[in-house]
Parts: sequence; C-alpha cells; structure tokens
Amino acid sequence: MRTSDGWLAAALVPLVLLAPVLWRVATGRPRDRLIALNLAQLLAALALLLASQGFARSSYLDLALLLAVLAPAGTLVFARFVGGVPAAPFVRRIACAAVPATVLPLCAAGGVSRQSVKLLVIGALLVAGSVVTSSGTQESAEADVADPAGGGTGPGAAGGGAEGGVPGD
Amino acid sequence: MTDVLVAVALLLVAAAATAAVVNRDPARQAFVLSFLGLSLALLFTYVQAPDVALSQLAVGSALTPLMILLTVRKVTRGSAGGPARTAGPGRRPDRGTARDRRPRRGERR
Repeated sequence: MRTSDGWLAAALVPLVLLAPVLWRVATGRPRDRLIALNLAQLLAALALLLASQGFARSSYLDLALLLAVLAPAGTLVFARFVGGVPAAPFVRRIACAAVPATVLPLCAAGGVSRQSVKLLVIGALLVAGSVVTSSGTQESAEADVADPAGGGTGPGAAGGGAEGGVPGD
Repeated sequence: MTDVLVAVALLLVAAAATAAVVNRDPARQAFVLSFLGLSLALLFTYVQAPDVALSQLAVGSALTPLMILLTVRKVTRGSAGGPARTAGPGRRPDRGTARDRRPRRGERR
C-alpha cells in the first residue's frame, strides 16, 4: 500500500501534543479535565484526518466524522456532571486555528471531489462542536461557588447539587 | 514513518492506562478512561484496523465513561437521599464514597 510520509509526519504533531493533554486529564480539577478531554478529542480528530490522507484511504475519514459528531455530544453530557460547560478560550483558539490549517491543505491535496466536501463537513463540525463546548455557561459560574461550599463532596455530587435533576432519571 | 506513529500511540496508550489505574475516584477516572479509548482508537487506526477503531471510538471513548458517571451519580445520590438516612445496609455506598472522596497527593481540588 502506498503511504506518504509527509502526511504521516504531520499526523505525528497532534499525536505528540496529546501527551501534555493527558497530564491535564489525569491530574486536575474535574472542570480542567473536561476542557483537556475536549482538546484531546479535537487533536485526535486532526490526527485521524491526517492519517487518512497519509495512508491514502479516504474511508478512514469516517473515523474523524464519527469523532466530530460524538465528541461535542459526549462533552455536553460530561458537562452536566461538573455543573455546566466550562469556558475555554484556549481550546476555541486552537480549534479555529488548527482545523482550517489541517482541512484546507487536505482539500487542496485531494482536489475537488466528494472527499473534499466530506473533509469540509468534518472541519465545520469540529469547529462548531469546539465553539459550542468551549463557550462557558451561566451554570459554570454557579458551580464555582458551589464547589468549595460542597467541601468534601465528589464532583458528581457537586454537579448534581448545582443543577437539580437529569431528565430520564 | 508508520512505525514511529504506532510507537508513539503505544506509549500514549500505556501512559493513559497507567493514569486510569492510578486515579482512584471513579468520577475522575471516567475522564481518563475516555482519553484511553481515544488513544486506543488512534492506535487501531495506525495499525490499519479502522473497523475496530470505529467501535472503540463509539464504545470506549463515549459510552463506557458516561455509564460510569451515571452509575457514580446514582450511587452518591442514593446515599445522600433515601436509604442513607436509615442506618443499616443503606449506609454501605456512603462508606465507599467517603473513601473515594479523600483528596489524593499531588491532586488539586
């Protein structure tokens, strides 16, 4: 199978960047972990996009598409447990810079085809998901107050106290 | 180049799995578990198994952590609400969460 080393080397960049993000996911307050997980999903989607071009298999794009759809939904559900979506301008800036910087060269390399349309859709989904999940909500400010007041309660209990109930519970 | 990618992804998986084991609080563990699923999906992609990666992405990085969080929430709510007020078998989950709540060394709260 023909692989192109340039694109695979580019895929190495988000992969290596995942290491410091893992540190943040493993040690930190629950809200920091949520932000770090959001960033990790974005970086993983970029790595998958670049890998699909590197392995010259357009069907690998489905992975990035699935991740682009699932990641914001998962983050929003996680956010219910930490009491609202935490504001993360850093993640938003990275999304607005890195996603076009990845998707547009991929489109240029592939030429005008169904694949480039798919790439653009995935890029738009990634940016939209990151913008939605990195903009803070009012709830997060309340959770800031509620968290120290809760003292020893776990993050799940603090989130439950801050926002009331879960539908379907 | 593929070997380098696989090696880095393997290192990432090993680090994420170790972090998931070291974290003792299930609610915090769920985040690390989600990250582990993500890095496993990347590894599967790099060893040319996109079908496995697809299911790993859906199940490992989204479904399992959410189910863990739901379970933790249910257990802590049960101990804070009804059964916990009556002393007896209902106190059991409370003891478990009290142990889990203990702040760990090197962890900011």
